[in-house]
Amino acid sequence: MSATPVSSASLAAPHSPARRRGATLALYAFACAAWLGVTWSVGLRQGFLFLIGIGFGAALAAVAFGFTTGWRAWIRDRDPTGLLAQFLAIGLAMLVSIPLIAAHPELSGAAAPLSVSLVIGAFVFGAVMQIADGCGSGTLYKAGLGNLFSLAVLPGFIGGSFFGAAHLDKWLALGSLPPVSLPDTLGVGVTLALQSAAFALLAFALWRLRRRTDTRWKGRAVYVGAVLLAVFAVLNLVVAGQPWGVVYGLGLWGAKIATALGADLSANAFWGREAQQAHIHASLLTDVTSITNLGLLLGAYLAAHHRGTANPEVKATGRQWLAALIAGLLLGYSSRLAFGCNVGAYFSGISTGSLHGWIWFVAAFAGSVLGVGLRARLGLKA
Amino acid sequence: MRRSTWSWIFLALLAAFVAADWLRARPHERFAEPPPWALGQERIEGAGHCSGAPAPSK
Repeated sequence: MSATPVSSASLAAPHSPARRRGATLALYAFACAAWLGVTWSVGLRQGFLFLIGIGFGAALAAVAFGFTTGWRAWIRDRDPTGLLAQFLAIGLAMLVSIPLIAAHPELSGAAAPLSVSLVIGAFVFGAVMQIADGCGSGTLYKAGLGNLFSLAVLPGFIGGSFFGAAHLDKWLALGSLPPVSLPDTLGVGVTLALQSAAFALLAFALWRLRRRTDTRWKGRAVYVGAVLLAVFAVLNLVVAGQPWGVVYGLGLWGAKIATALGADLSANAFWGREAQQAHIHASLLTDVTSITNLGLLLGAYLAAHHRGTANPEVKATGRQWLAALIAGLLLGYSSRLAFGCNVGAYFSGISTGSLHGWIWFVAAFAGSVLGVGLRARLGLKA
Repeated sequence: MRRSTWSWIFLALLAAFVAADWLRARPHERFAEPPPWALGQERIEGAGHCSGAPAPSK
């Protein structure tokens, strides 16, 4: 099985330059029509967020920016490139986001409780994302560019996110401390200095211990992608009033499907809350996380079409397809226990100064060490 | 089946889901739309995020 592009073919499989140009124009026309449709239907804010989502998807797919592969490249080959790019993206977003949130009470960070569920959920997520070959953003952007394995993971991810949120109160009963916002506790300056020093120390250690730097990314493209992700993350905060997230939107899609099938979620501890009930009964186009998710899917396809990496060939055995379905469920469920995936917890948690982001990182990385081994046992491509 | 066919099926299902949800949802209140961006505007509570948590069950 491979989750990486083996060969390329666009949706229309345009082999001649003229057909390829035609397909590109059609794609751009579709993207413009979708943006106009969103803006006309639900307003300028959602229209802007749709564009930001397209930016996220394009940046991720254009440089194959992978949180999962970045960690795996270090664990297996001691290649720090992916992790360094992640630190750059999160660090840059942090330098703008934390002062912005401190100065503007209308903006909020990604603060979440420090719970037993956070540690368990992040560990499981970190392990399973190596089997699924994609985290929250990775699964979404690879599904967007037509990777069949990620398309198989996505439905389980949606279902798992829904059930994870629905059961979250029971998991929280195992033990939890209130959220800790480092800027509120230590001040903005100290938080920026501390977190920058932590990233610098980690980067220094990774660089000193490196064995190679060419397992996946070559040149500066991945760092350019990291800068773009930071820019889009800050724009997301400015427009949405909250940091970038993925998993809440997927769980909401699950809650909408469950409601459409006749489930009454009004008594549920999470989905029964006033805000969540309002989201379930409003169009998903009005939800800030859903709209960036939809944009991300489209942006990934646009970038993959340009690179000629859309619809990669995927070969997997029956056992591996079954693993994809189960992995999707576990990814979704565990990410809700952990208050987010690599985006909502790791990227947005740390970049807005929430302590849970760092705990997530440590627990998920430990899980990934296990997951890389499991991946090899399942015979999945390294 | 060609690989691109699966992409078409996925996109069609996604579009159908968005459309069906739009038809099921409460009508959108055009005059209650938030300002184009949050910065500098009144804080809006209740936007969902992955970090959101319910109270623990007793």
